[in-house]
Amino acid sequence: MADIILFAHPTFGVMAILAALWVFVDALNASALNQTRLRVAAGLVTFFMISAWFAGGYWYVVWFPPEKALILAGPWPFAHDLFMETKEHLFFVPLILSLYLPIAVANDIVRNQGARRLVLVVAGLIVLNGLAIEGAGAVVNHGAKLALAGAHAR
Amino acid sequence: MNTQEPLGHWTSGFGIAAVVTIIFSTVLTCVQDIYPAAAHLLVLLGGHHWTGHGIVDVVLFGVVGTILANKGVHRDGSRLAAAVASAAIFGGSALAIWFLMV
Repeated sequence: MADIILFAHPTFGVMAILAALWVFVDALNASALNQTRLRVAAGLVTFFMISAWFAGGYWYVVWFPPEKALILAGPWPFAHDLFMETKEHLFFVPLILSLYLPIAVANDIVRNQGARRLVLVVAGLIVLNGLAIEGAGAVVNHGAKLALAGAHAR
Repeated sequence: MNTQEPLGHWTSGFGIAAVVTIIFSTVLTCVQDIYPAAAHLLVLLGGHHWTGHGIVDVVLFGVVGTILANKGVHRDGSRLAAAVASAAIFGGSALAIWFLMV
């Protein structure tokens, strides 16, 4: 079960990133024809980000403490001290932006240039923050892997 | 035809709420590291400091957004976009610098 949750949370994160990228591209080409699709995509961003929050949060609170101790004792303690700490708190930025995105796309972004710019910025920030968090997750994973390899070698 | 008319009150209110929440969340991260009592309060709220932090952020976003939307605030989209981008860049940079230092 722990492994399923471990893999589910970055998967939901990637799905949220892809949906946000979809919103970004559709907003760039906003027309009367793609408004419904854009709002569906924005709703998917929210759904996937909340799913990532719950899955990642559950894993972090329940399963991560022994791994944290392992990483801190290993050759890459910064994988936790810098990358995990930054990632876990930075996550709240795309979470809030994901909750906001469906509200932002409810405007007339075909006619209103400012409203379109807002949607582009919010969706773009979700993509960039999401990629940074996924990358940080890879460093945390490698920190644990190196620590395990070291523990086995001893 | 493109216009620059102000955004609706829901988009404006919750846009400002997003800016406020992102800045608040960044400051709260540093405060709970400095003051264990603040982290303890978050533990009491959510069973774990991270869970409590998330709950506070989401509630703050919802409450501030609802209040501002009901007050009928209207903001220009481009300015709000710049504010959201500034808050997110501040948040990301501040967190990375903070955890590099501590």
